[in-house]
Amino acid sequence: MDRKLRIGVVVGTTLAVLAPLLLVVWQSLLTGPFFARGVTLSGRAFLFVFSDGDFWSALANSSLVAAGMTLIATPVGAMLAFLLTRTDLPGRRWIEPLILAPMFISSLVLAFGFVVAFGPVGVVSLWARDLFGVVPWNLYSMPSLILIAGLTHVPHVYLYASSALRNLGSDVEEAARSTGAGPLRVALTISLPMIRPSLLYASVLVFFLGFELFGLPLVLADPQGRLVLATYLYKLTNILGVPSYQLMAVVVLVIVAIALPLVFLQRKLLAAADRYVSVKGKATNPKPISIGAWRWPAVAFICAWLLFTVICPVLALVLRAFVSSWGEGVNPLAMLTLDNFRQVAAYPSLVRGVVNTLLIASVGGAAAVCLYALISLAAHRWRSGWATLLDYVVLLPRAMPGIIAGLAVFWVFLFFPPLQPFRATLLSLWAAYTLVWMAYGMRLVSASLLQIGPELEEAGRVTGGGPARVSFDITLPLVKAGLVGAWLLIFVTFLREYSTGVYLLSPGTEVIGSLLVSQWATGAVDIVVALSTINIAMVLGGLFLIALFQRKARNG
Amino acid sequence: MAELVAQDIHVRYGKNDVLKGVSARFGDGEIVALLGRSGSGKSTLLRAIAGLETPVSGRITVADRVLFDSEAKVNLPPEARELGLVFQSYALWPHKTVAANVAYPLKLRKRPAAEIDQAVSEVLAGVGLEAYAARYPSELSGGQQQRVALARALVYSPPLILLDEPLSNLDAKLREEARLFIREVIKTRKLTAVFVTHDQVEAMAIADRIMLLDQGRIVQQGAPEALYSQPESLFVADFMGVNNRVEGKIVARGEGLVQIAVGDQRLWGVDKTDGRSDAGTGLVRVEQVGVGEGQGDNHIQAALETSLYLGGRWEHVFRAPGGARVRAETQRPLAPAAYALHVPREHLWVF
Repeated sequence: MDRKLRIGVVVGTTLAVLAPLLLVVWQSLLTGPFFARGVTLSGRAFLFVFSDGDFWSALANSSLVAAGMTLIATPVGAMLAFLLTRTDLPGRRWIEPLILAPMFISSLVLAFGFVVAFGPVGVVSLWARDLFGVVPWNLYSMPSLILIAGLTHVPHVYLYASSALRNLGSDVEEAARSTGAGPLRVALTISLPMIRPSLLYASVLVFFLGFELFGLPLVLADPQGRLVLATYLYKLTNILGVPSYQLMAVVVLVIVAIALPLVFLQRKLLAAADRYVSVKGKATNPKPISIGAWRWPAVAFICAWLLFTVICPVLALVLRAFVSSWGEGVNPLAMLTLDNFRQVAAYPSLVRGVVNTLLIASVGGAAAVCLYALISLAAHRWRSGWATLLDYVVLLPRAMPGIIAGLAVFWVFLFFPPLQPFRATLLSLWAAYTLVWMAYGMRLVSASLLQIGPELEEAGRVTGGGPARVSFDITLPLVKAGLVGAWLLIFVTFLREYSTGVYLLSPGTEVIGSLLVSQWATGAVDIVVALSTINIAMVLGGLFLIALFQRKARNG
Repeated sequence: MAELVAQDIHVRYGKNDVLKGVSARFGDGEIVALLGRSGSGKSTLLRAIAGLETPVSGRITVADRVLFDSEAKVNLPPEARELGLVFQSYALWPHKTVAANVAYPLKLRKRPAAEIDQAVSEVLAGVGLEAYAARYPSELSGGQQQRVALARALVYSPPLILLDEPLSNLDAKLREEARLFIREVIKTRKLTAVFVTHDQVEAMAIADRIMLLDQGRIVQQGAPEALYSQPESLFVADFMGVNNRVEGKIVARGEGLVQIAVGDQRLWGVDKTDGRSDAGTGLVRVEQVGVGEGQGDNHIQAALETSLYLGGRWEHVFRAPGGARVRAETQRPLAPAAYALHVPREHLWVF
């Protein structure tokens, strides 16, 4: 790429990222929606929000949930990572993909699963009541929300901890074993402390995700009237009859203001973690530690976690989707039916939602990866202030949770006249999805770009190829596999996305995620479980493709 | 006619001066080695010539073509410099076959397909790889990959070829073969070649001329024999061979000679000091130390400590009474005893 094109890409990206944010700031300073007549500049929206007791309790709840789930997810994730990457735990190979499952299933769908399994009349709850006489838990409470949020975010910690552990030479552990430390002691005093930078990064990530939480609190905390920041924002839309855009803008700014420092902290920590690992050099074929009789309690612990966070909710949800009703004394097997799916098929908007979800994930996902690749290539091996600017710009969308980015993109399409005709099309939805997952997608793409040795491109230049020609003939073919891999991951990510589409939901832009939110609000449980099951099936299909692709890549 | 001239090249990474004003002339058809330790700036100079680094100031020309001139604001991109570069890692494109790797530079030059095919098979035959055209680089051995890299750099007949540590990824046996082969290929094509290495033996074997760099400057240049036998500084003397090195005090000066005292031994040597300091460093190549039993001028009595068999010759370590260690070589093994070591005065350099 030549300099002009590079600068063009940087400027374009910066505008696309900053426009929604600036529009939110502008909106927060107005007395009414930006399109209404007679609105003036004022700080009244801030005064209103900051004097609202609900806002403060939502902020307090969000902080509590974020802190609580971090305290649960970090130790559990770290321990799982140690057990699965460093020990001779039985069944490691089939446990590992299951551990990552909560990352791939939409947390809204998981929340429905928890309701169906552990809610007051859930399958597991009814079974427990038969056993103990009462249901010994209350799903709709803050402790349950924190526990579930914590346990469903274990995979995030696991992912970073396990990759750091894999980079650690096994010699440091063998040294500890030979001086007389038991496996648990090795984990607690050697391995885990050595990957502390990665653990720190993962816990900041989980804490940050805690503030973004939308699906779980919407389903689990709403029924008892508890709000978190994201659900408070969502309720603002419904509470006042007129669109109170200025208030929503203020809440958006609060969330961004909390998230932005955390995003920058994560960036710093990640750099530190990478440095820490690279000092160690390459570990060759680490030998697993034998943990002897500890194996069985360890496996039991992992299975219990899997059963509670993945298997029970998903199975209960799927079962519920295939029965007509459910309750005490009802034998579900006698009630098997496809009526719920027929009901979905009967509504054109729901059918459109299913089709749109597939479209946005496949075609939209591919377009997003192309865009991410273009942006990454623009900054690729470019020592320049522009590249540094781009580095920071692509971090900004991370500070916007899906529901916020969806709202901001909705406003952008409302605000700029040339974009208005596209507001109710999939284009607006695609823009929002692409923006929300920009940091993630760019990381996927640039990871494969960085794997190409610089001399391969330099060789192309020296033999006579211009920059654009070298990008096209050498860089792109070499990252082709990486780009396909990135597309598959983005495909699954777009399939399960739900919060980004909430404000963009209109006839023509339905996707399963946003339909689930709106159908849940109307209490259409049958449709919700059927759509959730379809969504799970799609995600499983995507994961199957990923597995096939990885096997193919491994076999050359 | 491809004479390469670099004038006063300065390269800076951030606050680090990597090249501090290097001027060098590379004659037409000459093979020049840029020799130095890691961090000496030798690779940076090569990359600056190739256009992969941008100097802060200086001027680089090939024949009458200006590749870089900081004053005239000329900076040709790498693809416009028309030179061949062989990378240390070979940098073969893993997604292209051997033939496609070699054909790529010609494709970029929009040559007709038939001509490309012919040129590729000619140059591959030249490096002995015509049978491997359809293979992928990962299916070749290290030595074969290196030949492909060479073929790719030669196929478009650039007048100048640059080689960055071309032998460092080969094992010892292959290296000896490859250095002969590379010299032959370059000489038959009458190319001007610049190659970077940190190995003085390799530099002496391949190059017509050596430029020794240290800390971003050229410290000495000349024919391999000249650098080896007439070093101008302690650094050059020490870098170019395997040496005995002693620190001592200068006690007497004669015509072009100085006497250096190490412990209670006194030795005459060639005066290479600046004449200002009393302290001196004596340096003699290991192969110049004679092992005998005689007595006399410039002889040291020392006890044999250890012997190593190096294949065809022995290297011995002696301990002199003052505690200094002296290494010497013989063709035969020696019995443990005291020996008289002769350090010829014309081979002892005192800096």
